[in-house]
Amino acid sequence: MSNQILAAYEFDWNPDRWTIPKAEKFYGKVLTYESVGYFSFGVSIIGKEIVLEWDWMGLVQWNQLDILFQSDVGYIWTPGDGHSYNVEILHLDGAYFEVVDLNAPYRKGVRLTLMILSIVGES
Amino acid sequence: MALSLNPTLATAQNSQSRHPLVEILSQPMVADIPFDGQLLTSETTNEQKPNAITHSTGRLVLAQVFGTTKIRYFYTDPARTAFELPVEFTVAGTLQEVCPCELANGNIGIIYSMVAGDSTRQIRRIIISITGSIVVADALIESYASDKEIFNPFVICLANGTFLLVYGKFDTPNYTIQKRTCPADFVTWSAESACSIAGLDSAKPRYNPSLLQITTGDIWLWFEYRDDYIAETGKELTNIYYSVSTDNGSTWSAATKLTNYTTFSEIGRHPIAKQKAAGQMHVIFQKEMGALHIDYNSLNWCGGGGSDITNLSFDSANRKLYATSVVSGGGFKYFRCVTKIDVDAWHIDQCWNCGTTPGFNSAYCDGGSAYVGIGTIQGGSYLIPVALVGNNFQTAVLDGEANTITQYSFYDDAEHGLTKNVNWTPLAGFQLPTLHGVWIDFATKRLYLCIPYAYGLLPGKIEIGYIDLTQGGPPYTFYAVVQQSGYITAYDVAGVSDFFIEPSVNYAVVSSMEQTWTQNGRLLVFNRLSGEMLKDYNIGSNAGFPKWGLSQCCYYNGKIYGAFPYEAGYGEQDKRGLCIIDLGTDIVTYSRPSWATLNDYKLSQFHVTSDGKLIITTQGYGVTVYNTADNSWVLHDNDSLPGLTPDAGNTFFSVSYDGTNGIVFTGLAYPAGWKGLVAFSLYGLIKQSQYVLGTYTASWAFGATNQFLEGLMDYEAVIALSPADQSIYAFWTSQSLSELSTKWDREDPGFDLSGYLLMGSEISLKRTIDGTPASLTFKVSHAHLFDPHNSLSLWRSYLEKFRKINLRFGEKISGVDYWQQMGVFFITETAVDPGYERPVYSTMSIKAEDRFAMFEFAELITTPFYETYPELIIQDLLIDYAGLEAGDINIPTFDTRAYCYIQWIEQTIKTMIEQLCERFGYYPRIDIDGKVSARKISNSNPINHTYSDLTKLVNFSPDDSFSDWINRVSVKGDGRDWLEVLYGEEPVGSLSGACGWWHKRITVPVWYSTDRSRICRYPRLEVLESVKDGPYFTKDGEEHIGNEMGNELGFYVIINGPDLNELLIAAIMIWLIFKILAVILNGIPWVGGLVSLFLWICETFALYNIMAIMGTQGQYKYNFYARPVGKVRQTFQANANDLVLQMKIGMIVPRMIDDNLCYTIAQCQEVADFELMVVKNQRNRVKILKLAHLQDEDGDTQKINHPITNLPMTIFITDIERVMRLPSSSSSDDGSFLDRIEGWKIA
Repeated sequence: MSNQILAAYEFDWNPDRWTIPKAEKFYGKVLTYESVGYFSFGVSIIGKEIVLEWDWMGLVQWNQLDILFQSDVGYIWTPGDGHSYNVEILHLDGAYFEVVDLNAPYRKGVRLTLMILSIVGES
Repeated sequence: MALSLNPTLATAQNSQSRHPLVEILSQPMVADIPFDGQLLTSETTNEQKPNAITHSTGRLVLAQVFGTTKIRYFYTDPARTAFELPVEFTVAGTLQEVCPCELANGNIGIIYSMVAGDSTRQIRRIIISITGSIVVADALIESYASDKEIFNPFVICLANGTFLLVYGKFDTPNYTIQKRTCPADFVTWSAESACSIAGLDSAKPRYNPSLLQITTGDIWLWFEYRDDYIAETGKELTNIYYSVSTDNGSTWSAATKLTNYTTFSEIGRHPIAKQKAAGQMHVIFQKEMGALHIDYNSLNWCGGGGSDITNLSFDSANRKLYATSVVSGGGFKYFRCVTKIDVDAWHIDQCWNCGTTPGFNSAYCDGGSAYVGIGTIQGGSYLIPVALVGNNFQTAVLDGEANTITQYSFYDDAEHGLTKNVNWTPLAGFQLPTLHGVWIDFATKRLYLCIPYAYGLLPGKIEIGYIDLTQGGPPYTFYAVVQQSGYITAYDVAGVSDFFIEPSVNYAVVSSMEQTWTQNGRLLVFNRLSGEMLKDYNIGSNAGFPKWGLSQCCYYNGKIYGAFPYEAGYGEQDKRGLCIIDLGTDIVTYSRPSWATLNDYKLSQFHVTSDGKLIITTQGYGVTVYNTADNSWVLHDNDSLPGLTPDAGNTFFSVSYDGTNGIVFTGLAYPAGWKGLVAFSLYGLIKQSQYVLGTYTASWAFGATNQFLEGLMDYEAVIALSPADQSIYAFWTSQSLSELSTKWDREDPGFDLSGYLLMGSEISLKRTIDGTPASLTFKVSHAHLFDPHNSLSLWRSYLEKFRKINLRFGEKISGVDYWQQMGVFFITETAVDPGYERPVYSTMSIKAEDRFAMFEFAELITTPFYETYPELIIQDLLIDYAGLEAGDINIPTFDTRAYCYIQWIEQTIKTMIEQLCERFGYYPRIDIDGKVSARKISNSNPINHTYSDLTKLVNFSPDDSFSDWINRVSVKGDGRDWLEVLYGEEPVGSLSGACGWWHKRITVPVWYSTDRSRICRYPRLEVLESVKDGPYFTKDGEEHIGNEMGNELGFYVIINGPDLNELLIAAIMIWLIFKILAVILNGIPWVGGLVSLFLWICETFALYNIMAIMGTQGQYKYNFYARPVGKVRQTFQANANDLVLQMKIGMIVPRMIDDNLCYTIAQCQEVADFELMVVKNQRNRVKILKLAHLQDEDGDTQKINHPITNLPMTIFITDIERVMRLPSSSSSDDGSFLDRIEGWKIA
């Protein structure tokens, strides 16, 4: 699988774990006197939060992601599942390695949270 | 009848597994086109010549000429929700036109033309990004010497990816349309070549070329072409033409004419075309006209032909013009009508005369007894007076916004049913008051009246006062301000020619014009507060004043400006034109119009603009404008504005002015030819954009011209189409006085709000039979875009108040969407939740109600008297007063229909409709399509829906909270037939007098009422003093009631006077006897003096008796009594009893209802039974919560099983709330689609 792309940046390393961008069902149920009413409001991926997690990553990739995060605009995310998504970055978190000095070119426990606005090409 | 669903949808409603859908569309209440528009910016710098395109990203792109040297570039976001702040590019010259175009890479190419500093004409181009960053620097395409002209470059990108640029060119002596082409880079432009279009004369200009490549690939070149020209005035006759190229612009077809204007009064300019669909083309162009006209042939005019428009009043706040018309002819003038004109749409909104409702009293229109004065009746904004001037004067004031007419009567007028209702007492003296002028001061809502008094050549008087139009009444109080006696002459009084109030300086001005060689005119200025006379101008006191006085005048900035007649031979040779009186120095000067050398300029009425210009009508020369700042004159007539009047006449009378747009309104009175109302611009021709729809079948055909923009000075319209639905975005130049601005508007196919509904929120639809309008509530995201106060948002109109909302619910069945219409509503409440507050994301709550909410506020002063079936009355009310059309109404025939006889006064439309429906056991409702309908309230309606099990029932509960103790309903009504009633005896009159002694018989008619309309019977005479009660044996006199009049309106009293004839003869005989005896005995010597004395005494006594008898009168004094005869309607009453409850509680608890729509016992019984049915059913009220079923509606009758017994109950639905709750998230299961029902268990 090729590396994922966020905006124009192709990840150096793909995440170790990530939420599959799969649509979810919106529904409800109401008990009636002798049965149940089930209401399906369809499936949608809009608004779904995608969490990309890296145990650690290089500083270059971290900096690239941080620039995107700081820019605070919408991007296109291409995870390699055959679709591209319009997303907003909600969170970017990571930690320094404790055993090396602050200039170590790595970050650990990185979590990048995206929210899907729409699938590119579908309105 | 319940809704009929699509069979597949109906089947799905019975499933336990549902896939509900909702669609909420926001739509305009009325058609979008013609557009009214809104300003794009609030700039004061001129913005003009917009050109717009739709970008491939969906953005709108607009370029305009800003000021004289800047291109302003606007763009929106891809969803076209809002414009970004504009980007400006300054050019090195005077910018002429600008045209944007999209390049293949999404950048924007801009072509513009300018006049450079060295006067060369240049066509240049620049390439920018979609967001306005310069990509390729500004560069010259071609430069032309200053003796050449370049007109209106226009560029498009062709389907093959190349660009085609066209522009008009003048290169002595030829006019051409030139073209250039360019590959995709927008940089390497070809040399120009002329478009060879057959059928055009190269000596005639062609302007404003524009291009459209249609779906077939053909390129349409639209342009305006000058067909004719008047060199002396520079006037052009232009029409819209087109030529078509089928080879990407290499060759062009012969020119074809679209418009066919043949006179200079209307011309076509600035065409542009767009295709919304294959085989269809919208062509937008501007029609320029000398003026707009309204006359008696115009729709809604109610004054008939031959009406002279004598007074105009402009309501600038509501943009309505009021025109008062009178019948033409010399001498008496009779009122015709007041018309209310929407000046933007230029049509008559409403018209009032003596036959309308409301209407003016017939006295104003009655040619036999009254006349309307000319030139001295002035309205204020929407308060319009009509006056019968002269003796026995009357006034009425129309409130054009409230649609009311208030009558102020100064005298009784029995002929027209008017009774004096103004507390006003004429000044004492022989002089008789007349009304010569009325004037409304709108700011204080006062009606001022000028009342001169005259009698022969006695010194005159003048009274000025006002009526407070806000006071309650009648009666109304007249407050006198000026009361001048003896100071003015009878001639002054008779010649009052103008009267006005100047609130800014508290002046009341009266002008008197007397064109009699022995007399002089006079101008009086009073303090309108104290009544003090401030100025008195006449030629005797001020030689500069015109001898005859001023016919009309006005005030501005310390000076009176007046019109006056000129006549040679009176030393007036230095007094021509406009008379100007400086109230500070009393110096009188004159300004002679520069547009002609005349003795008498026949100036007529004045309108003073806020910037010190006097717009003055003339009787024969047009409308002239005098600028008080620089003493300059401008004339507007049929030469300067071809088509100013249809017959080229220049005789104008009344005048008013729209200061926002520079539009003059003038009415024609007493011309020989055409009469009517004219609107024209002080800034040239009126410009109004039009459109023509072209359709293609075997060939292209273009239909009729329609109005595209509302404004009278809105032009240079261009359009871009929405890529989503091909709806029109329009941009144009709007002229307000001399300021040019860009306005925009959009065709609104409806905006789908469904995608913005908040998850976790409810969409609630409520309907009830209790008269409350059906309502819809929901919540949406993006409150900042829907906020109507966000002026940068293109979505701000979608949820503005009174916007139409269309609701559909549906079901997704096997992947297919099935829909059911649910209702049409109008937004009544919106709220941003919780308001703008960081860091909270704002949402918006919306409440919309159906059309009944409007009817609740629509109050009518009075309706006609109806005498027909209730459904027809409802239909008439809705069409005549609610603005609906027959297609908006779907009232069923009431099953117990009967004639109704009714007229409403001061009731709302909703009340009237409810009253009619309730009488027949129906309730009014707005159906799912927004039509006004009604349904039967009954406990015996057929079953609409049966739920045979409990699988849909969520909750059931009895609820009798709305019930009460009533167990008898009594209904009273009045029959249609009259019953005669004989009332008790009462005084009907009295009579007193005297009669002579000679037995004269007097027959006196006695009427039971002074108006001789009262009917009485059994008259009785009470004699307080009889003719026989006097001295001298008047016993022969007598009196009695004679015959009654045949129509029982009175009777005759017969009085026979006393008969003293015999007594008189006897007295004369006695006197003669004594007289003769005295003569005889006086001749006998022995008759002594005592005898003579006795005879003299007797003679004298006899003579005294004669005199006494001859002086005798029979005095009489009577009172009359009779029993009046009256007519009353027969009263019917019927009762309906709930015997079971009466027995249960041992008491009768009645409710009385007066129903003026019940005319028989049977009808009263019908209503009583219905009301008792409602009372009883309220005790059997239930609440039900069940899965939603799109078929169910208010007024349905259903069978639902009881949850315990599982036995069926029959329920009449009185209230239904359909609630769709959208799930909060995918992880919650709180979504639902339920019906909350309240109803009556009727079985």
